[in-house]
Amino acid sequence: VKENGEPVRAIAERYLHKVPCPFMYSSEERFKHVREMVKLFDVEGVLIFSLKSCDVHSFDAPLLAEELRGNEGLPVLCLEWEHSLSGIAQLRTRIEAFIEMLEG
Amino acid sequence: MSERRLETLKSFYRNYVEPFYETAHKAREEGKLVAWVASTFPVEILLAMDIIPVWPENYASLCAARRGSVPLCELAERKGFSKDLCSYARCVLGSLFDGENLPEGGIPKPDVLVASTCACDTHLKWFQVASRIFKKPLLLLDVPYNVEGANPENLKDYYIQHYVYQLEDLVCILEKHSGIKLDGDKLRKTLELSNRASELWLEIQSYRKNIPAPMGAREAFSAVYFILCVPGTEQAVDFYERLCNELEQKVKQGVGVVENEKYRLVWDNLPLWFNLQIFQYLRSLGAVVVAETFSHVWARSLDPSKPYESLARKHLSNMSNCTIERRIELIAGLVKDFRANGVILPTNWGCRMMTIGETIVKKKIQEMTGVSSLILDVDSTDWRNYDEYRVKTKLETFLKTLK
Repeated sequence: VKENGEPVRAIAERYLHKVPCPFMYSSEERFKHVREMVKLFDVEGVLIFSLKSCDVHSFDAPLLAEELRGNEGLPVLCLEWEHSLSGIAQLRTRIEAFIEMLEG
Repeated sequence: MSERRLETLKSFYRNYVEPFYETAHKAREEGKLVAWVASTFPVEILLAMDIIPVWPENYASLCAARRGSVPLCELAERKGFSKDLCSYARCVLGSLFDGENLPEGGIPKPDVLVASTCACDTHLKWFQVASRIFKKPLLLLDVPYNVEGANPENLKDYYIQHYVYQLEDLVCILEKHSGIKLDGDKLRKTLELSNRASELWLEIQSYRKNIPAPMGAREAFSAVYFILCVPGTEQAVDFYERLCNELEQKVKQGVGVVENEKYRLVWDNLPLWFNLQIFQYLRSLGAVVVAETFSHVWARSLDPSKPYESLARKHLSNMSNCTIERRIELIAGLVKDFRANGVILPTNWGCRMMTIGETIVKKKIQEMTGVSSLILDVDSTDWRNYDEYRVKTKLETFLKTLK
């Protein structure tokens, strides 16, 4: 939040301009943000973890995956899960397999 | 025996839906501008600019009615779109990955996409995805969620201003993009036609208050097309005038759509587009759907001298942009006005907006009207989890419990 401006306006700007939620942003803006993070943290692979029924993320996920795979040549694993422990072993296996693949 | 079927609605698909897609495809070939439109967008603006509106939602329902939606949903799923997403969206996105054998030759490609946030989050994301695929711009109206109730005269000024500013902006962009200037007189004329269509649509609904009801849900879910998709046109007015006249006759003759009407139902949400015969089944049990919430959210009087403001009021006060209380009030009102003795609440998998809170709706309707509701777990477009036997048994059992 900008500390030298009018406070309510500064808070509004902060909330309108922070990137993560795909509901607030067009795919382009958010994907750009993800690409920047990929560079900034110098990552080997990307996990796209969508929460089941969080539609705004689920719409973005296939496009983001395609873009990262295609443009950046990055390995991407898309997962869709709920906040529950059921099937956690399967989730673990998929992530482990993904990491092994990254390690080549 | 008098004919129970309505003459005006005979061959509806062949007479209106097919020509609509033919015309849109042809217009595109001729270089006219085609816009993809999400419901709750003020389409009168496009109609006044001679931009061809094409409705992905309509296309999904059409694909379902032609039993073509599931293969298209599966195509979208293969591309990574979650099975839990709205089946309308999956179906239409799927159709973009298949060039062949699409109903009506596929949905015409857009030059521009327009949507508003007032129905659901899905419109926004679905259209963003399509906009990316087509590499065409998406113009979006951000509509503040209306917690004030449904009275269009009782809205916060800054809500209206926010809507109007955006609409003015959007028109400027469309004008620049299309090279077509929005003509004020033409917009006024479109709004007048839209008003007339609204009045007629409400009149059509009011005929259904009669016992026996002269029209059911099967007809209403077809006829709603005009008020939903092309409200500001001569075609809409002409069709509704003819339907009104026919219904007036039916009421005079005392002819209902069901022989020996025993149960009068309100139908919430969408129909099972892939199985509209379910309404026939209800009829065979003596049940007629006398009102749908879907038929009672589109008609709204507009002031042609203040086009932008009245379009803002119309959409800000749309049920889908209001709280759940608004929906409960609407259904309870329909139960009373249309003398219904049961409510069907079909949940639509993937439609969070209309599905969340069904148990509250059911409980409240019971408290307010004494009438029971049946929650049906179904999807309007995707039939993979549909169990015909179970649904029919539930309906039949429910009817038996009604007073």
